[in-house]
Amino acid sequence: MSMRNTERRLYDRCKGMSDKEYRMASAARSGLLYMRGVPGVALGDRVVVRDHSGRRRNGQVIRTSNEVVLIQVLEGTDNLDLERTWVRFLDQPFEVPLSPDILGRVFNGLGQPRDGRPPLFSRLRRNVNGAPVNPAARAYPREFIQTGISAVDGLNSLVRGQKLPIFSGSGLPHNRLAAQIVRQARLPGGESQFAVVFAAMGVSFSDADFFRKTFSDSGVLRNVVMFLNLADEPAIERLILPRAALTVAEYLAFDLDLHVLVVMTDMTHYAEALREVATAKGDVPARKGYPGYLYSDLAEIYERAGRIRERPGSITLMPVVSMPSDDITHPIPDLTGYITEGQLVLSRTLNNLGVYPPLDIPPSLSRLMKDGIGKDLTREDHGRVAGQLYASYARALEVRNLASIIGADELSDIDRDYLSFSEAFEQRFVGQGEHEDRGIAETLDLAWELLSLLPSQALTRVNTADLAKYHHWQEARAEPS
Amino acid sequence: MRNPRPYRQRDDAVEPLLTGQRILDTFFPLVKGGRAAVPGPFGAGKTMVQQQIARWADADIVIYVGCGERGNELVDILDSFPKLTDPNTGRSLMERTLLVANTSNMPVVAREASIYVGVTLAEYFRDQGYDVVMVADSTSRWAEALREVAGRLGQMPVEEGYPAYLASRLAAFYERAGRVKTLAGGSGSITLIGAVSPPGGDFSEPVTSHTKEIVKTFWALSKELADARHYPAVDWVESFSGYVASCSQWWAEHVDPRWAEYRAEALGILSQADELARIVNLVGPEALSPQQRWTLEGVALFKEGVLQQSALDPLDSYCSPQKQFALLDQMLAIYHAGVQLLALGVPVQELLRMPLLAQAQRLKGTYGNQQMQELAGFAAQANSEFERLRNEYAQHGKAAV
Repeated sequence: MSMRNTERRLYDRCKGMSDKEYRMASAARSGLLYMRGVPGVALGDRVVVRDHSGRRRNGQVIRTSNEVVLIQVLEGTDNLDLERTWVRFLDQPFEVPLSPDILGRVFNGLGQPRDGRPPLFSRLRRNVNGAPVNPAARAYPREFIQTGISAVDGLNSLVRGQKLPIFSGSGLPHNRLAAQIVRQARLPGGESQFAVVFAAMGVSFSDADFFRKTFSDSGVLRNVVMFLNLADEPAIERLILPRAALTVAEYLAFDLDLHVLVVMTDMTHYAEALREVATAKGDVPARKGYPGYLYSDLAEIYERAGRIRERPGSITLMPVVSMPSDDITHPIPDLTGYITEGQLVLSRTLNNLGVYPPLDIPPSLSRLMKDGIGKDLTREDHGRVAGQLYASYARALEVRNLASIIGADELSDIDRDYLSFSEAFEQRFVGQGEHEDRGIAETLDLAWELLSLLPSQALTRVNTADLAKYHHWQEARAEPS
Repeated sequence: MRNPRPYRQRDDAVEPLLTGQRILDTFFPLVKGGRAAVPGPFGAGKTMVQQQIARWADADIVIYVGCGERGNELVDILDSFPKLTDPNTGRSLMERTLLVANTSNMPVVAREASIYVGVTLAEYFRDQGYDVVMVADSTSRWAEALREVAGRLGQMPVEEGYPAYLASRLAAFYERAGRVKTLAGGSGSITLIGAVSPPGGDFSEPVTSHTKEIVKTFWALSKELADARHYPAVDWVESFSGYVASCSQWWAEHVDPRWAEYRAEALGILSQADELARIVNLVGPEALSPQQRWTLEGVALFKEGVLQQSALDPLDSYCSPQKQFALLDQMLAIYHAGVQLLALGVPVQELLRMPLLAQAQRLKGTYGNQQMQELAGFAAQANSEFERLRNEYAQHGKAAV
């Protein structure tokens, strides 16, 4: 009986909480609202702020203590008259409703529909923050995804459940590359249930529309869930958006058993929004004004990709990170690279040479490649060929450097071979059409064709059996090119 | 957990920690009870180096602390270790491995504690008389957790937001490494190996620079080497080991007395070649003498044939000390033979064209640790090849005279 009374009292208090409106805001600046003396408020709770004109804004509790409750107002704190501002604590965290009907819908950063259709109703609602996965419950990703792009498949293979960002710069075709991967990604020789979650943070309308058109042209729009926050919309929404998108992705992957590809663009805008709030809160800045917890915060997002034991679905994450002034050591790409399983880096030089996709090979890397390729998965020689291409291209770049100093005529025969190898490699292997879909066998054969421009003594990363089978140096030299 | 466990006294006996990695064991050795750091920018292969050590080190117990790193890396260990066998005992690797998991999306306060959990576990086994290796990936994340907690506590930030006690905490942590006489009278050791993830690959940042002062073995990873897929990407210029002198005795007793001499010579050739490469970039290869050309090109023997080691190749992943020395010996022999032949007037182009060079660079993956006979066979073959050239040119020389 007494138990029941306690429960009852607790219920009344909670109910009371979300019924009451508080009017004790003590200050408001840069998107934050400071309240005094509100008891029983939980960190991360949702808040509705009503201003003098009756407009409602969404908010979230981001700090609580005995003296002060700090509310982050997602639509900003402009035009708030503190005397006439009412705050209601909803006593619930940010949640998104989930049901199979979510496919094909478009939402804003808070998970509210923006496609003119009614909101989604479902008994199943999940906290957008998710929960960290115990590593022992994870399954190791090892299914090779063929993207049809040689520089990705051959050298930096993507596997299901991987998080592989695209490091780009302003004006580089990262969106076209991401769209091409969405269009062409599949398991070699297999069709399967898939879905795409597209999360856009602070992008321009035209970029968002480019993706919508791509999805619609390739007939996948019904399998896409879009979360859009355009450049002119509240920056603070960008902090909730990727979490809402990943909560949907987790539902699709681990409840509905789909293979989900999540494309996020642009994580730099996310980090900037985080910095904005952190500065307003007065957190100690670490590098370039970004808070010290930027790493953990990014990890909370990126680590939600992966596979879970005994669940057929997967989440493959492809965030786009634009490097401010092409600086890969800037905190955002730097910390991203420490969390993600590799990176695809775009090169301005290659882009200016007209190479598409302009993938900068030396710094690009796929950490999960080693277990996703090889004998039964792609082809027996794949790993060694990739290593050889990397080594030969690195050497070729040194030779090119040398040639620019002493002139190509002064080079030895072997160095001249390297020079022609590097040209062919960039133009024919890295470069390809935006709608060209190369099979993995085609990619590897092309790799050997290029390696045949070099004598076998120079190829020490492949073994003699590979050389006997695929290398045709003499022929290559005899042919007029 | 934050206080070290007691022991009777420190023990100064020296025994190298063999990891089966040529660049580590032969060039920058670590001893049981030593402390080492592996700094490197992302993608340089810190985790692979750490995992290779966890796999092949000749310790009784390996403790792997995943501190603020990727979940999938721990899954990789959980998946692959049970299938691997320890080359020293022949039993499953998982039987001697302990994982402490705090992945990057787990609470930060626990991250600060995870390192201490690991080292306390290590002390528990040390006190039972075992040789323990603890690998912490990565201490930078631990330092960041320290920074975050300090920030929340309102402590004064010093360098890059880190609290003032960062250096002393790091030093106190690494001090828990060592070889000791335990209270029970046995002898055990803890070897600490910490990965460092400097932001932007900048080794002058606080965590790396403080760590560098504390550790005695420093395996600096280089972005340039990793970009060329030269793994392990341990930079032979930046790295150092304070245990070379003490290890040379062990190598002299157990493998070959010429170890220290050969190691020094190979390092000398490597740095000479780096110097020559710089000159070539200024004035072009024509300015070099044949001997210098040979050094510049022949250094590939050491880079590809010894230093580079594939973790994915079953024959090459673990390299026994005997094989390590045999390979180094072989490469030096070829290099010396080349120098001699050049003195006899053999053009450097002819030397560089020899298919022997490429074969020598593939030796590491051609013969396993048990095939020392075959390695010796290759040495004989190489010798006869050089002998043939020598005779040819000796006669040539006579004819010309």
